Amino acid sequence: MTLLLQVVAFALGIYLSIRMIAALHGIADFWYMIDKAWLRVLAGVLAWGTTIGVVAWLMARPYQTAFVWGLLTYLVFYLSLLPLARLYVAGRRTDRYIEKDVSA
Amino acid sequence: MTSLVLSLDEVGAGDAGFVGGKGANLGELLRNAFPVPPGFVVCADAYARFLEVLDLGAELRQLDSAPPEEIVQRCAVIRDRLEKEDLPRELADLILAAHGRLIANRGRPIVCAVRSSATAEDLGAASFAGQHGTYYYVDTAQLLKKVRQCWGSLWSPEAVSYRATHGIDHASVAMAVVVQEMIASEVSGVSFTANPVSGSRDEVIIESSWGMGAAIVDGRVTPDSYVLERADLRVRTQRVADKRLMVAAHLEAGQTARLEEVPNAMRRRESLTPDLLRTVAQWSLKCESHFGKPQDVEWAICEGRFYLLQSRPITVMGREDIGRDIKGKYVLFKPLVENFTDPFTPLAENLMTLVPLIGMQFIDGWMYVDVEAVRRLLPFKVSAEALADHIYSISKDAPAWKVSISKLPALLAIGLMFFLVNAVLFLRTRSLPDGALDSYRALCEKLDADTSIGPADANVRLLLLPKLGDPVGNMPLLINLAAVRFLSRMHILRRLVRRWAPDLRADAETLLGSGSDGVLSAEMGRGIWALAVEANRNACVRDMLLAQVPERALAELRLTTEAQDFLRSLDGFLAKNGHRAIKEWELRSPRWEENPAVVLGMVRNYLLIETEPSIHEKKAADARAELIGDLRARLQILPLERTFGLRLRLILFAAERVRYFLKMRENSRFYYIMGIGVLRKKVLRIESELMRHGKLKCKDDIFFLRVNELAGLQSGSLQWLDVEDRIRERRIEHIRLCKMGPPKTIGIEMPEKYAPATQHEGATLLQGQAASPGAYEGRARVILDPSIDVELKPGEVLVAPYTDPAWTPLFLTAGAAVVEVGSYLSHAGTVAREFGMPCVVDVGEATQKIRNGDRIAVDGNLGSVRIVPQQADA
Repeated sequence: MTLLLQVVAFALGIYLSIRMIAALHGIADFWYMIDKAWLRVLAGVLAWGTTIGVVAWLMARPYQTAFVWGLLTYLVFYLSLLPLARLYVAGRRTDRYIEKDVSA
Repeated sequence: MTSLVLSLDEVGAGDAGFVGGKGANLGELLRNAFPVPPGFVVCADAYARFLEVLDLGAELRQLDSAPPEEIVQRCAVIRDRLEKEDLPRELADLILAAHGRLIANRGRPIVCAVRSSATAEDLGAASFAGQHGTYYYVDTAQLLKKVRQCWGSLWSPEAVSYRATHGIDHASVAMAVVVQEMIASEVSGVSFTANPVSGSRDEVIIESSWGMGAAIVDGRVTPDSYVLERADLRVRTQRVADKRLMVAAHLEAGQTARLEEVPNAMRRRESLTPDLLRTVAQWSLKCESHFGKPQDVEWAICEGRFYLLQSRPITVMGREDIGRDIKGKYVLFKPLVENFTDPFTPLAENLMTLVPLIGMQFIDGWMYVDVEAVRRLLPFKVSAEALADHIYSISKDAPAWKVSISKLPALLAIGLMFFLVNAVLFLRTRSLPDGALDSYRALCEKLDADTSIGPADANVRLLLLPKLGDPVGNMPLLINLAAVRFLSRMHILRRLVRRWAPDLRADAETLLGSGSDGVLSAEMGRGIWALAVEANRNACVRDMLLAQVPERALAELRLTTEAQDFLRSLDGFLAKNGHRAIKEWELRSPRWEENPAVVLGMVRNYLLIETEPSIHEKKAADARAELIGDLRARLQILPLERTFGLRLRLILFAAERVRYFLKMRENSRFYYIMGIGVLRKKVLRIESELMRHGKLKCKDDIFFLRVNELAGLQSGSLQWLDVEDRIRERRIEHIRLCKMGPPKTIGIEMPEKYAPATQHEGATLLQGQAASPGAYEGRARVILDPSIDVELKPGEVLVAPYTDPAWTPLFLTAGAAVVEVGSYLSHAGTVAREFGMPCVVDVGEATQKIRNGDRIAVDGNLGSVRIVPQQADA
């Protein structure tokens, strides 16, 4: 049962991490109209940040650890997406071998 | 004369073995009093003699055993020697003597056309594909060199590759060369005595343009097109193209460029008078009668006189030939082809596949989905045929397939990964305000100005890989993909409505899911209407637009003081929408900002109608309001609805979500096309530079090169002669594919129930897919290209192969729309719903089955189109 709840806490951490990252992106997404949207952006960041804090505070120790791991795991995963995508694109680009293919 | 050089009137149909197919055909025609320009043939024996003199026997024998990777290099050596070494004295004298006789008969100096004539039947297709040399404007000084170059073209990489692919022995091939007086044609073209795509024998198709015919054959010029009834040569349909370029019949001293601009006054003038049209048709049918089979005829008109340049049997190329050599099972990726049905040019395709697509592949310029790859991922027991059908018609409800338990774990893993990768993006795009994507415009301008970034890198930055701190507005392609959530929202809406108000009108969900404000393509249409209103208020502008073709009108407007306000409004419109184009997904398509005359053509269309577009929208809005009232009344009888109104709120919320994602899809596309516009600008700059250095000769040729070939030209490792043949071959192939259109599937035999909606011969009821509700009856107007066919009268039914946003203004004029390739999500469906007009999509062969002027009844609820019989209309 403990293990199951830890898994649930981990999953909850992932979910809230997703929400938090999306809220933080709002700063860039609405920068063009930040004078009108600042409240919305701030509210999103504060709401999810507060939720994360409250949830973590309310959780008992083993679940809190699992929850934090969930938060961090997704954060690392998300931050690695773009570099991995860049590596993939750089490695698979079909225009790489210019000098070799010119006669084909 | 010896058998090394023969006069054309000395050869006939049975001599193809030593004068080649072209030479034999022309000789046969000349002997039978057809108007063929005089000339002579340098026979295949002459080629063989030259090879002996060059002592290339050993090289030819070694080709059979050479490793594949060395073949091209060895052939290049053979080609080089053929083209550079002098001909034997005797042979040269024979050729020059024959040429001298041509000049003497004419009584003045002439220039000649020097053309390859392959001796083997199986090389006939290679000639057709433009792999073997053809040269114009050849005078005495260049004649021998051009003959050698024709022989050399047998050994070009493309010709060698063709023979290798088709198992033709390199050493066995031979080439004759036809030399004829070049006709300084004012008009030239091609005609087909049967439809080359369908094989239909009841029509004669003629394509014509100004100047020499070479530019029509390889697609550098869009010709006028006529379809005549075979029985009485009555014109069934005609399309007068905007003929911007022509191949000059004469060259000035020192001139090398052969494509020149057509004078404005001639661009939209019909190139053939009715008498000449009839003459061309009659001679073409005489060719068919002589050879006993349908013919593809090249001809020219000079000083009112008809000349026959070539006649060969038509090879009917069906869609089944496309992808024949491809292994695997594929279905057409409809979201792309419903925007335009032509294949992508090589450069556009190359840029789109800069990073190989997963589960997708380009086949002959069209994008296909790998059905087997998708089948492996899905946890259902489903046949390839059923899956292909569903992928093609993705907006239909999913059928009830059985679940394959063994695949469930893999599906869950994939689904989880998909969720984790896309969750943040989906949240960011949940409720974007209008204008959220405007930042992309600034990114496009920045990259456009940065000359250190080439088209490939710009493609990656603009369309594939954002930066971490980029606002979501900088990712139109990703937003477009995220908008696929429309499907699930529509499904929910449909379920809710059917559950709680099953007796509501059949198109209730469609109506509820339409009518968003802020759809950019609809705003673009309104913008053009606003220009028309402004033009209408200014008598000077109005008169110019109505009296002239758009190009001429634009030139005159620019010189007219009273038109400056209008021109400023036009510039304002182009500042926002100038990146749009007809066939805008294709890099090669000129953007409106490059040719504002296209926009003026649409404005001109609006000046001819009296109905305001807002009337359509008001009608749709009224229908929606009425529907909601009806819905409310029906829901009232359900428990607790009066008190809480939850069901209505839920339905309206679901409808709002549908409208939101549809708008997001449409608007993200607006900006994605902006990115393509930047790529085009970069490519055009490279083209300009390459033409300045003589590495490219004609505009537009650049789109028939691949990215690595472009890089080769820029670096100097490739020159014009290295790419000339491959460009010509790809152009000719492109035209051929454009005429055919893509097959729905490759490698899959579709059972009857999944058969494409091709219509039976003589069918009056055509089936398609309902895309916008309503019923309408009116006269059909078949439009294949809105830049050519701009005359759509108010209330006519638009019948088109596809539509994209450049067609939007036509929707304001039309009473209904019928489209060959499309879906509920397509532009045609989306805009028709916005404007409240009936629309049926996916009506196979609609533009062939329906003719201009046919009275048709469009049922946008059932997805059918009925051709009303003529007698019923009397």
